[in-house]
Amino acid sequence: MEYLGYINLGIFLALMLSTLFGYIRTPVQTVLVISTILCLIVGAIFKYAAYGIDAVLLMPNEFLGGIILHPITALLTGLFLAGGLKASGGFDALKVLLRFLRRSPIGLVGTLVILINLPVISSLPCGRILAAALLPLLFTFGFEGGLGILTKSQLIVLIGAFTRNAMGSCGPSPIGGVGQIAEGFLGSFFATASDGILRAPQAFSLMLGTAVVALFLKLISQKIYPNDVSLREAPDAMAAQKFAEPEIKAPIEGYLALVIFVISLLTAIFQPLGKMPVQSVLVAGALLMVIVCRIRLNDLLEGIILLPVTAMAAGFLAAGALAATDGFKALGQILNSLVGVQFLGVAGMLAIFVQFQTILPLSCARILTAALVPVLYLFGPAQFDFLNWSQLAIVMAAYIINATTSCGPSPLGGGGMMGEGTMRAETGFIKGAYTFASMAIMAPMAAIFMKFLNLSIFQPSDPRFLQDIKMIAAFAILIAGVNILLLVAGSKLFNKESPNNYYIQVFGFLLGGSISGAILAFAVFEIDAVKIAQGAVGGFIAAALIGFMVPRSLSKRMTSTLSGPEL
Amino acid sequence: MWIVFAFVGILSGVIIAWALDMNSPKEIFQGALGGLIAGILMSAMLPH
Repeated sequence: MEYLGYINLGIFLALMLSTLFGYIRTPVQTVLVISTILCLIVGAIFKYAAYGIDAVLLMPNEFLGGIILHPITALLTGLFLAGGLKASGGFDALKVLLRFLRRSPIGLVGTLVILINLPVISSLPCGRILAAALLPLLFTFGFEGGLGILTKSQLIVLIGAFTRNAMGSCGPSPIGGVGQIAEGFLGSFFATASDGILRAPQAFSLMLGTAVVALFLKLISQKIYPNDVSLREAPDAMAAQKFAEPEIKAPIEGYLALVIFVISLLTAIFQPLGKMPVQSVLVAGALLMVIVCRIRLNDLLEGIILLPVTAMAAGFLAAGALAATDGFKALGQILNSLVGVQFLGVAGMLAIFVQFQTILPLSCARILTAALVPVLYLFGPAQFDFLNWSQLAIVMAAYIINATTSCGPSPLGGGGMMGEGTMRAETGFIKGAYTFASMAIMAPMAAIFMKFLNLSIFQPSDPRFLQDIKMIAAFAILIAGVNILLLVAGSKLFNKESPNNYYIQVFGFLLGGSISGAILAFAVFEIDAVKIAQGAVGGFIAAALIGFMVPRSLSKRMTSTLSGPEL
Repeated sequence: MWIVFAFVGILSGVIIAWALDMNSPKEIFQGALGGLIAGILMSAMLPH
C-alpha cells in the first residue's frame, strides 16, 4: 500500500508533463479524466488486495467528495452575467467610455494604463471574457488596425501587458475566482477569510507585475525574438498621416447592462443587503438584464466559456482521485523529505512549491490549484505543522498569485495565446515575460502585502499582525527596482540574434528567482539568515526549472511542433 | 489600503508609460494619473 500514492502521483505528473511538452495532443481536461480513471483503477487494485472489496466500494464517495461546487457555480453565474453584458452591447458602451477618457486630461497614456489594469479592476471569473471583448479594440491602435496611433513595439507592449493583467484577474475575482479555493481553506482559522483575504495581495502584486511585464516585453522579448511578431510598422509616408478614428456607438441597452453589471458586482462583493451567496446576486443581475435590456436566455448562456468550467471540474476530479488513493500523501512525503535536505529546509521547499504552477503551466490555473492547495494546507497546523496560521496565509498569498497567473504562459491553450494571436506572435513569445513577473515580482510581493497589511485587516484582534504601509512601499520599490535593473542590464548585454541572449535571460531568471525565494523566506520567517539563504536556494532551483522552459527560439520550435516527426 | 493601492497604481503607471516609449514629463505624469485612478478603483473593489 505504501507505493500506491507514489505510483498514482507518478501517473498524474507523467501525464501532465507529456501534455505540456506536446507528446500527448489531447485537451488537458481529457488527460485529467484519464489520469483520474487510471488512478482509481490502480487504487482499486491495491485497496482490494490490502483491505478487500469494502475499501474499493468506498472509493467513489472519497473522490467525489473532493469536488467543491461553490467556485464552479460562482464561475458559471459570473460567465452567465458577462454573456448578458456582451449580448446587450455592454462592451461597446465600455469602449465609448474609454474613448471619452482618451480625450480627457489623462490623455492616451493614462487611458492605456487604465485599460491595461481594467481586467483586475473588474475582476471577472475568467480573464478570457474581457480579453475576448477588448483585444480587438487594442489591435485597432496599431497601423494594421486602422488608427495608427501606436508603433509595432508599443502595440506589443500594450497587448502583452493587457493580456497579462487579464490572465491574472481571475485570481482576485470574488465571483468564482481561483483565490476562493484557497480562501475556503484559510477559513478554518480566519473567520472572515471568505470575504476575500487573498484578493488585495493578488490585486496589488498583479498591478506591479503587469508593469514589469510591459518592460520585459520592451527590453527583452522583442530583442530575444526579433523576427517572431508579424505585425507591421506603418510605412514612413503613412506614419505622419492621421487616420480617421472609427465611430463607436453603443445602444442604450449596453449602458443599462453595464450599470446592472457594476451594481451586481458591487453587491456580490460588499453584500450591502446582508449575507447572500454571490451566485444568487449574479443570477438576479442576469434576470434584471433579461427584463431591462431585452436580451434572451440564449444570449446569457452564450457567455459561458466551457474551458475554465471543465478545467476546474476535471481538476477537482483528478485531485479527488489522488486524495482517495494517497497521491497527496505521497506528494506531502516527497516535499517533507525536501525539508530534510540541509540547504533547502522548509523555506527552500516552500520557495519551490510556491512556483510550482508557473513551472507546470496548464490551460487553466484551477486544475492544479484544486489539486495542490490541499497539500499546501497540510503544511500548516492541520498536519505537518511546518507553519502557523499566519505563515500559512502568507505562503498561500504567494502561491495563489503565482498559480492564478499560470494560464497566461501556458502553451496548452492558455489565455496568453489570445494575446499572442492578436499581436501576430509565435507561440511562446510572451512566456519569458509572464513567467518572470509571476516568479520574481508577484509571488514575493503578495507575501509581503499579506504580512504587513492584510493579516491585520482579517485578524485585527491579534497584535502580532502589524500594519506597516511604509514597509510594503519599500519592498515594492526594492523588488520592482532590482528587477527593472536586471532587465535594463540584460537588454544592454544582448547582441543581435546571438545564442548568448538566451543564457543571459536564464541568468536573469536565476537571480530574480533567488531574490524572490529569499524575500518569501523573510516574509514567512522574518530575519533568520539560514532560512533566507535556504529560501534563496529554493528560489534558484525553481527559477532554473522555469527559466530553462522558456523557448530559446520560436519559429524553429513551432515548425518542429507542427511538422510532428520529432515528437 | 487606499494609500497602498494609489501608490502601486502610480508606480505601475509610470513604468507602463516608460515601457510604451512615452517618456516626456507630460506623458509620464499622465501615466501616473491613469495609474492613480486604476489603483483607487481597484482599492474601492476590495474588502477593507
